[in-house]
Amino acid sequence: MNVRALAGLGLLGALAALALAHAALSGGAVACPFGVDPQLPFETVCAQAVGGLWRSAALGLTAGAGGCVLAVAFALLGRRLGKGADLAVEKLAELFFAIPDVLVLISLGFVARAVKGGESVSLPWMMVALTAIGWAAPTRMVQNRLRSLERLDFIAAARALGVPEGRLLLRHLMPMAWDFLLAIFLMRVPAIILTESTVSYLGFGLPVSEPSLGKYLGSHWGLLLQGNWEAVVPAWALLVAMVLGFQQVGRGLLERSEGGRR
Amino acid sequence: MSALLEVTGLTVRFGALAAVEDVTFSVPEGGTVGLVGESGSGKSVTALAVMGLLDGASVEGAVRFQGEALLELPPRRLQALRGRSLAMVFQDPGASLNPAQRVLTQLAEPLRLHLRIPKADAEARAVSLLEAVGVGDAARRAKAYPHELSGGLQQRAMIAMALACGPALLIADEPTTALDVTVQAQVMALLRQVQAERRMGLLLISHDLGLVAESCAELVVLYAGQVVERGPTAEVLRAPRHPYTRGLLASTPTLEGQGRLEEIPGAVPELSAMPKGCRFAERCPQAQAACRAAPVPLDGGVRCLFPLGGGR
Ligand SMILES: Nc1ncnc2c1ncn2[C@@H]1O[C@H](COP(=O)(O)OP(=O)(O)OP(=O)(O)O)[C@@H](O)[C@H]1O
Ligand SMILES: [Mg+2]
Repeated sequence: MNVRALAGLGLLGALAALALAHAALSGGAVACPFGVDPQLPFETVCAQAVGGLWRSAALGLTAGAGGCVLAVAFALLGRRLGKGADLAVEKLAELFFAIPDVLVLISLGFVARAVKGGESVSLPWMMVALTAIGWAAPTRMVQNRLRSLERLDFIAAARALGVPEGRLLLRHLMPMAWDFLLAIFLMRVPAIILTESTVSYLGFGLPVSEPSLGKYLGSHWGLLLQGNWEAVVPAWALLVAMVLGFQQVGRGLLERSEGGRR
Repeated sequence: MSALLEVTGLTVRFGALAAVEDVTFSVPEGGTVGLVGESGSGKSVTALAVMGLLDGASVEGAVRFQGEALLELPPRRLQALRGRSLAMVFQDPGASLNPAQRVLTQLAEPLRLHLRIPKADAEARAVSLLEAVGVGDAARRAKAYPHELSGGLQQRAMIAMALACGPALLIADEPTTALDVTVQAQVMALLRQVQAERRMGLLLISHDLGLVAESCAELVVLYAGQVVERGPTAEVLRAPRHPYTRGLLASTPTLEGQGRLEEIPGAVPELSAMPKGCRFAERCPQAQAACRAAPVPLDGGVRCLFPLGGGR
């Protein structure tokens, strides 16, 4: 573990503790120091911010995991099917990667609302959509990692012993890539949280009744102009802390996995 | 003696550059052949081409092993041969073992793959394989991860792995270069011993002519991707015919330690700047204009227009 990863982990731990403390205390004994949400007076600012934190985290974690599973599947499939398929996966991922996620997500949202009606999209829909657009970057990273691992001597040595390609991939290459996968998963989480926040902030995402941090900030930023920063700053702080926390753990693990590689 | 391995006109190109050109040699059944040459002369590329392990290179020529044309084999057939009848030991044992797997698991792998021995039996056999290559306390060491073993033990484990299925040919690419001098001698003694016991073919690759000469009946001298001299070890040592071979001999320490070592001046030409004529001409004390004019063919075991000792 390096310092960066530990610091990030500490930040995430503090956030989780805060959210759990809020759940334990929200019975009413302790009032929210930031008061009630001016737009939804039956909710406190604390409840809104912590609720947004959970939703944003859930979206980031599920879509991040989904994207990484897709990435591994595509990368392995490409390898199994041979050079042409591997290259096709690479090019497709690069193409996809070049399109801004936010725009794709907004467009998908338009389609969903046109089909199903309504003003917004649901949380599960958002999870699926974020997974569907989030495979490209991790796919390229997994492909690159497999290729660089493959140049290691012990892979050639295993081939020289007659280990078949499929077994080589699963028993020799993939086990070397787990820590790396964990790192890119953790780095995907904040990226996804930010993408979703942007889309919901702009009003194309989740409903007001089920806000992520981005949605809450998007529908409440006007309060800042009225000098009511207490209603807005807690959600900002949680978003920044969470994104920073995941980024630092992810980058820390990535540094370690690159350093530990020969 | 019939040939176990026959390499004919092997040419390997990376892009437009030929790292190995028109290399021809053979290893007789149970025979020992040494492939020597300076760093960059194409020794490893030759070995990897024979094993079919060169990805992204164009390989021409013919490689026949036990009557099969290796370069034309379907991947599955090649896979079935590798590790079973054709095995290789690499230079750096520390890098050639999977750092994430116990030695035992790795040793058992070829047994399970090729001989279809069940896991428990294969692991039991793996321990006796380690014992056979002189690893003491084999049961305990088998359970270790590679980084927990010394370089010498790692290389013994690699050799045990290569020998696991009783190959007919072992290619050893600089098997001792990464090891301490005393360990080098032990590992070479081990290789010689198993070669003799099993009457296994051995292609020993090294930049060290002395080391190869001790262990091999025949020598193939490689320079800048080409064979420059070939012949029985005793003859080559007694009367080298290519000026490069003589240079190598002069720079090889002997047991008697006679005289001082002479380095061959100059360096191997870059792949991208290969001279048209003799590739050694720039460094050769007796080069003449004719040497640089046109490619020199390998003739009578030597690639030289003016071989030492006269005649061609
Ligand atoms: N994958 C590759 N791509 C491009 N060039 C390569 C590749 N592998 C080897 N070469 C080149 O081929 C030439 C021969 O390399 P090779 O590794 O066979 O030398 P060697 O005789 O084994 O030397 P050493 O004693 O250093 O191991 C070198 O010039 C090297 O740069
Ligand atoms: Mg080499």
